[in-house]
Amino acid sequence: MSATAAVKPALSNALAMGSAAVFAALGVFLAVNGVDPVMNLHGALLALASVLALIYIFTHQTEERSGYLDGPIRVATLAAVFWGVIGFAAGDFIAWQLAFPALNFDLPWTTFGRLRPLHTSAVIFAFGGNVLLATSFYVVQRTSRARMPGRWSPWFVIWGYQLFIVLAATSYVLGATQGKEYAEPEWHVDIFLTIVWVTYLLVFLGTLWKREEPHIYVANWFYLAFIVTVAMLHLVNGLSVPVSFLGSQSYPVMAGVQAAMTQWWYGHNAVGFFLTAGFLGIMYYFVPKRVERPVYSYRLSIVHFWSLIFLYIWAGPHHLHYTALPDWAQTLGMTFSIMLWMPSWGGMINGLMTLSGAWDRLRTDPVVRLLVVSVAFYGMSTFEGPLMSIKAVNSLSHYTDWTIGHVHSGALGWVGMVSFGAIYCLVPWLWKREGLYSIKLVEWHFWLSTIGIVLYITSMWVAGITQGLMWRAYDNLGFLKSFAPSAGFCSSSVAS
Amino acid sequence: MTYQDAQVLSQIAAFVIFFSLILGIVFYTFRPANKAKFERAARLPLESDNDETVK
Repeated sequence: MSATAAVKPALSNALAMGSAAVFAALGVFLAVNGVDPVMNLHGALLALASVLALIYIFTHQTEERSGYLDGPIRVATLAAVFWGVIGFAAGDFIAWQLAFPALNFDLPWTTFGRLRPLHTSAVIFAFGGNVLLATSFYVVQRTSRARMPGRWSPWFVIWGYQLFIVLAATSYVLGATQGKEYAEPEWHVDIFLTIVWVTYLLVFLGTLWKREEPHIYVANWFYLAFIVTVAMLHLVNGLSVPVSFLGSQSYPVMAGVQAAMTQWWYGHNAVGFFLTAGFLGIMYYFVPKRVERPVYSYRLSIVHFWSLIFLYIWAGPHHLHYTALPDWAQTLGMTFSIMLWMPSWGGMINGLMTLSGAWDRLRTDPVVRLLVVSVAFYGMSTFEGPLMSIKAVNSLSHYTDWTIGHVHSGALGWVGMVSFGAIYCLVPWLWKREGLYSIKLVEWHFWLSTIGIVLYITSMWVAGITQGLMWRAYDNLGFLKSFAPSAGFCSSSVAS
Repeated sequence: MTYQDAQVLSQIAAFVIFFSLILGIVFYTFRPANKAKFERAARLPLESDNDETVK
């Protein structure tokens, strides 16, 4: 038994307090001297958070150290649930706005254009991001048999990330945005996230460095690919020149088709590495753990990892079919997307077959059902994605609700369900409880979300295909084609 | 060196690097000598959560 030891790392405490003091001073400076309200507000928020951190560190200089460091994981787990509720509610609300535009209340802060990034960032980065932070810190410690390094760094990663979320959300509502999908935060928020993210990478690598277990388990490979690639994407796509160092506005370094290609290289790999590789790390730990069986084929998991990361990075151009992007780049994006069928389905089969010999768990344990159905949705949406990347299909599906439906079958079906499966595992483990409060409620959760997702995606297919056909109802000059039943309608459907 | 030359060279270099990398990975994965190692690695999640082993 590793005994509980009281330690007082003077250097760590001093460094942490020093950093908090510097951040607090910077925050006060920006709050006072910032040239726009967004910068004033962000300065004040930074100062407030730093002062709170400073007080906390000052009063908690002695640490009772034993076993794994689970405190930051508990915070991230609660934060995931908290932001999840906000993000889902925001999505629901903007869906109502589409049907009833009056719900924007005629106020700038509550228009669809500002609340939509609030929704996407809240569900992807706030909910999904906290799930990834929590599970990656949990998994890397357990599979390395090592405690996370650092007295305060893991805490800074978790709380710094929450501050990033608040900064991003407030800037969207106040209208400060780079206007790049999934990369909306302005330059100063980007820089703050970079500091948090590099610390995250160092804490993760430090745990691997300290590991007692010689082999690095495959889930950690997926997490590491997620952390490293997101850092690279964020830095390149975020390249911009601020108008003033005291203001929130900036202009991107790249322009035109280069900017578009960089944006969708970023955007698609946010899907590939944030929403896929990271959550595959969850699958490779939590599915075997919950069903108490080793992964179906460890060899397949290695091939899955390398083929997935080799191929995903090239798939971005399929977001720019029939645009100013050169044709060869469009075809390249389409080809790599099609090739992604192989690792995607290899990974899905590996996850599902882990249950062989334990299929009864699907009937008896609704948490296993969440995890397994999430993998099934992963298979379905990664089949649909490459299909939609084929230029001919894309000419029908793009700029329609089919795309939104596809995103949600991946986001709600795969990411959402694997996240809740992992949270339902993590909470009793982290708080040392016998089990969940109510398995019945998990059953309700499972069936409500499964039925809801199926209704969502099927209605969006119908809506999207109808919209796609309506795009085709125009001729080359933009005139609506004749719908005379004899010749016009038939020729329009044949010609397109 | 013209743009065309640079393009052809970089394409060949990238092909050789990536193709040999993936061949190396496949060789590592399916090498019989690594079988036991991977079988042990696959069991890592099942035997890892107890605090007593932490350093």
